[in-house]
Amino acid sequence: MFKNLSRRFGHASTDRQSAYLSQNDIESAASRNDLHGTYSFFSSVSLPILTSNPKPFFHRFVEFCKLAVESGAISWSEILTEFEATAATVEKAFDAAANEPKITSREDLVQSNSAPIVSAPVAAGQAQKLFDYSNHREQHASGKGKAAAEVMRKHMTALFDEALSGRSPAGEHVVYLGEDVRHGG
Amino acid sequence: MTDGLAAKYPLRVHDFPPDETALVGAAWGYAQAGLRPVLEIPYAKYLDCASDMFHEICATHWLTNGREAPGLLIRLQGFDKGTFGGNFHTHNSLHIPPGLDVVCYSNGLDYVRGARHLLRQTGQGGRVCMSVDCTELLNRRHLYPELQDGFFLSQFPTAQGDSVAQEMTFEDVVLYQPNDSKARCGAIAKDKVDLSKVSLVIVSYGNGLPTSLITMNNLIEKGTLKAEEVLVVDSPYLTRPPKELEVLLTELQQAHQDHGRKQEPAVVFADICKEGPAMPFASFVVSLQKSGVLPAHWRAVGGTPTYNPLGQLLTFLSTDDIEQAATAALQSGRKK
Repeated sequence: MFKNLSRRFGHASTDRQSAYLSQNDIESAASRNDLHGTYSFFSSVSLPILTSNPKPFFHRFVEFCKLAVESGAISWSEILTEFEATAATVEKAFDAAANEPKITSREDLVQSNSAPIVSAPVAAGQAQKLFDYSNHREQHASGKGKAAAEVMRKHMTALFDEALSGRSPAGEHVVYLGEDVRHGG
Repeated sequence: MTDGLAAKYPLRVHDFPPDETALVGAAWGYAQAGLRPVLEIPYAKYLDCASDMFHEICATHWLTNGREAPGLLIRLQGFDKGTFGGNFHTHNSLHIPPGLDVVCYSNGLDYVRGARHLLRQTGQGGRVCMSVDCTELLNRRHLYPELQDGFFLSQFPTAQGDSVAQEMTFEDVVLYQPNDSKARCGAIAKDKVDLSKVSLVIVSYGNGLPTSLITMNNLIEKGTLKAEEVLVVDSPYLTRPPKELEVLLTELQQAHQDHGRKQEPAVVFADICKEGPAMPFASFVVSLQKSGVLPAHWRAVGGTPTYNPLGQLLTFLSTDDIEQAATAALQSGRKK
């Protein structure tokens, strides 16, 4: 089963396939590579040939395109325009990345692990560490306070309600994804 | 946990089938499209299924030199102790790659305040954050059920505007000492603690907090320590030692030096993860030693380095585990 799988590329960009594959094997694999062949195909043939006589090894990809065109979702020229625009964007991004200043220190590398921390605003005249646990816990014991004392899970539900309503520091566009979360998870 | 939210926000709560690679990939796509996704993984072990996608997301800021920072909050449910489901539903290992902020809160108050900080970091900052939720704490009410102490019950901390007072940051820790409440202990501000008298500090998080508090009370009941001699520190941020923990350990040692105490301070790092490389406090010890604040007398203790069998709590961190580590660390700290 694995022997005849088409090999799209080596292990990594630095992988020299010629060290362990013959030139014939390399070219044969490339000819069965839908993505590689697709670029060559779109670059080299005209629209009439594209629509009338797709080469066999592009069959699946072009079939999907035909379905989309026949359903009226897109035209062949729009597909080609989109393909060329995407290819140009990729080339431009690659050139930009290749010309960026190189990082040469360990400290700068570590800094680039994550985006910087965002600090919450401090209200005028307010000390930073003000949270009083007893105010939220002991009121339960004494029966004071308006809100009911709840378990952690209930607080979490209320917190995500706050987030989904746009009232959290994440702002307006919070969404919640998961397995079976629509009926409570 | 999302009870009622889909009905209230039908366009914002999305179901996915049990295919974690697709789920995690879709969440990343949502983030790249400008949404602020909260991604729920129902059981911690299931994140293994999405491991490659997960690691690519954690590395993205680094890979793109900061050009891509869409932000994602992962909720990893079903962590640690339980008698249901064995290894696949009681997972207690945490691999934390660079680029990931991990937190594990022990109670509802900290969860709400901490999650607001997480939402700021993911929604405004573009960071990748993960909150690890211990199953046993979700519905827990009491530290001692037989006493009905209500320790884990609290009123929701409603946000009063957008300010730092509403949030628990990555650098924050919470201190606990004995008191005369039903649970025999409670949170205490650092300026109310006489660090020169503290002989033992137990650092923990998540499920480890109630286990550490009960251990603290046991040590006092047995006469091993007096109330003012022991401190429990809840340290939820797990990616690296929080600054407040480093400050506390520094001040602890300084206070002992200033007062010429015979007993050098001892620290126990009580980790609910399995002992070994996937135990966050193992890396804490390395970091604290590098920064020169690790006290001379310390122990680290964690869950048993094996898989969790069905129907038993045998392999999880226990009060006996912490007490043994504390006794050894205290013994080590007694000056001859």
